[in-house]
Amino acid sequence: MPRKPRLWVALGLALAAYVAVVVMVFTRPGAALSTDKRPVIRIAHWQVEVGPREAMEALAAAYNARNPDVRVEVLAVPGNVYVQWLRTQLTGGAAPDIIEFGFWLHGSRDIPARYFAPITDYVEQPNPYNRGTPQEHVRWRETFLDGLKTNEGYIRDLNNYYAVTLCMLSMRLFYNADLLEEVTGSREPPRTYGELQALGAALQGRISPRGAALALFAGSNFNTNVTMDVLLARTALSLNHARDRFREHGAVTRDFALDYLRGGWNYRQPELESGFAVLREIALLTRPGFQQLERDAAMQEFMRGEAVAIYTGTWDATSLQKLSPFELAVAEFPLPDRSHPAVGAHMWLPQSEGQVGTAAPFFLNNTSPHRAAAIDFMRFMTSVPGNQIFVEASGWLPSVEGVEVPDHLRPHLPRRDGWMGRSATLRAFGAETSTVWQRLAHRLVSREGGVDSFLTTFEPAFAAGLRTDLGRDARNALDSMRRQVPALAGLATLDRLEGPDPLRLANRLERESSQHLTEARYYETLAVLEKGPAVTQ
Amino acid sequence: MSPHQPRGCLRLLLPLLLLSAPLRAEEDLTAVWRQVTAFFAKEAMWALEALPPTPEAATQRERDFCHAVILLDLQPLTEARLDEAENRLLRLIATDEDEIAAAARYLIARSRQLYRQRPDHAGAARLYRETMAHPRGGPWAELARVKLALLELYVLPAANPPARIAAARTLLVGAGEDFTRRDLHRLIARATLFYDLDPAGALADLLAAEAIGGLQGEPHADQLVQLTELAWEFGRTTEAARFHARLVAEHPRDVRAWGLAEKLSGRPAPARGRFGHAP
Repeated sequence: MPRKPRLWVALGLALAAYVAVVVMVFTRPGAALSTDKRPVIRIAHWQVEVGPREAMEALAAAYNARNPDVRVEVLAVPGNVYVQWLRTQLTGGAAPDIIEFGFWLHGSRDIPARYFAPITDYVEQPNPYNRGTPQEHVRWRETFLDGLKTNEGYIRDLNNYYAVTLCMLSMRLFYNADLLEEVTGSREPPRTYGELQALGAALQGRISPRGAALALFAGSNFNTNVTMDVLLARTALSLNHARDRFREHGAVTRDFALDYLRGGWNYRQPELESGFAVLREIALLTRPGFQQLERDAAMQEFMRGEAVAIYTGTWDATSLQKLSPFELAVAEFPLPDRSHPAVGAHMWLPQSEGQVGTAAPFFLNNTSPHRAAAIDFMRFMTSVPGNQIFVEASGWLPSVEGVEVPDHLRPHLPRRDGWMGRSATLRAFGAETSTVWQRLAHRLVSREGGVDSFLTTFEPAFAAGLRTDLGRDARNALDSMRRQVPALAGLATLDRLEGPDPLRLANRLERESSQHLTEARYYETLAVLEKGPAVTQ
Repeated sequence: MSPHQPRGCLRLLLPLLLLSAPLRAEEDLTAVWRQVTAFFAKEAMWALEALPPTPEAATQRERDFCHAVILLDLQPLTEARLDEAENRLLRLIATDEDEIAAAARYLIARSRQLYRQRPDHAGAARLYRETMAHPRGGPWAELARVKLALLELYVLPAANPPARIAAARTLLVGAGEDFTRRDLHRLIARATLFYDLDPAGALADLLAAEAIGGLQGEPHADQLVQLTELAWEFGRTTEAARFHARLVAEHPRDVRAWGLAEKLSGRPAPARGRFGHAP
């Protein structure tokens, strides 16, 4: 019976491993049997790209070294399971103390009001970790490059600051400089849309060393959708200004959406129809079938040398720089100019890349047992020295004033001056419109498709989807308004009980004023959903 | 130390202790209110229920009011819970005519307008009017005035949009605070543009709101942009330039300043379409 001892050995090893894991789980800092009684601050994020993942660990290590009484643990959760994971953790009451979150995560608009704590009182005070820097006496929120005026930083419907941001993003075309030289004789990226088209034409019939057809753009559902969003927003800029009912130098997304249901514009407008023609030009320079592919597939296609360029955000810059076997060239996407036969008449150049917006927003869990320590770490990671650590380790742009941008990141700095549209083209206004696009986009981007056949099926489905999305948006606004009523009543009552406090009074009046506007927008949405173009009757 | 000294100290301390007892009760209640303002309804309710009983009718009244307000934020927000909150608020109205009674009227109106499955807008409007007329309405009367204006502008029956604007405009008379007048002007301006009425009216209201002042941050940047755009639209270029200069100085991060500068300098700019009464 020679097998039996081996079996026992194997079982013993398995048992020992199991026991070791159990001991590790139950004795790690913060767990039930741990002798380490330091509070553990857990921070969750989805930045699993090369660079930011290490940068988050570097931030935690630097903080732990300065604060031996607390321990920060970083949880990196891949983006494709993040929402489900987060929802489960929040519902089960086991969510981390600090959580990265964005409104663009579908089906999660209720999360901030339900699960996150406002941080307004904190961001109105200077950040103590900025001591000795030019930001020392500046209110924490004012130390951010955008003053924290992002959708997530300051949640308009909740009239409160909720998140601090870690970086600034921009979109860039990353080129394989070796391939570029092979095709054009120059390592310089195209500077005009015409040169870009010429490059695309020069690739026709070329085969990569691995035998695949050489594409201009590495394609995936994500990368190509982002490209299309940016391009369509640019070509539709004049329409966005034309439909600026409230005179705000461009219609914001919700007003632009309501205007669609009022009959103010449609996708057959020349600006949009010609914009779709440009999108089709771009799609045809991308690997066929890209809609079925994930971001990773586009990255691999580019890394394998099967595409000359990839359009992506600075979040991929470090991965590309560290992993690509060739030299990279970086440039802005050259937009069609006035000479473009289809869309030229509607183009306004230069175009701003928008309000300097910071990103990677981190929220405070409402039920964090270590709120003070969690806020302290949020202060550290968004202080001048903390954010500098993040920038240097991640290769991303900073979110905080006074942080030095390394030379190699300067081409990524967003262009500020120029014309600006204030709304996306509603392709993905909400979950329903996004689904409609996903279902029908092949009619636009496939070789057999075309703008006309796409719009014939897209527009009716889009209108129905937009109505559903706006209805959902209104319900979310109603939830938010309801939550404000007791809080604002509380502020007014505190003024009565304790005597007026100038700061509290100013805060209440500002929030009430915003609340009135939120309420007006809510009723506008209901009115348009009910009456459509007849709303002016 | 004389044996009389402790008794002497007690004699001194006793009145202080007695004086501080109601003060502490109020402090405890303000701690509960702070939980409410931070959106921690459950914790606020636990803290309220943990307060020791009080023989003081006034203190109990404050607590009853606080209890009703917390119910409006306690999940799940059922119709039965709203009934309970409203009944508690109604009892407060029935027993006194102090500021709490005014607040109770305002909050019942909010409940009927925003919280109920089937909103009662007419009922809410009636309660807002009562709150406005309340002799000790304080901040609640000011809020009620603006909320009533919102109902007039968008919800209550009206012959047409100009009638809505006219009804809301009547509420400017009698507003007790500058910020109430400012917010009314801003809402009337917005509704004027929403209904595609004469934008000259919106410009006048926004000018009035800006003259009152007090707006901060993005809402103020939006208002300066609107004033620049509208003033330019009506050929009031000097005023437009003045508002643009203020946008640049007071909101230096706002990238809309670049496009507005192009417009003001007379260079080609994307044109706005026509909305009903474009000049």
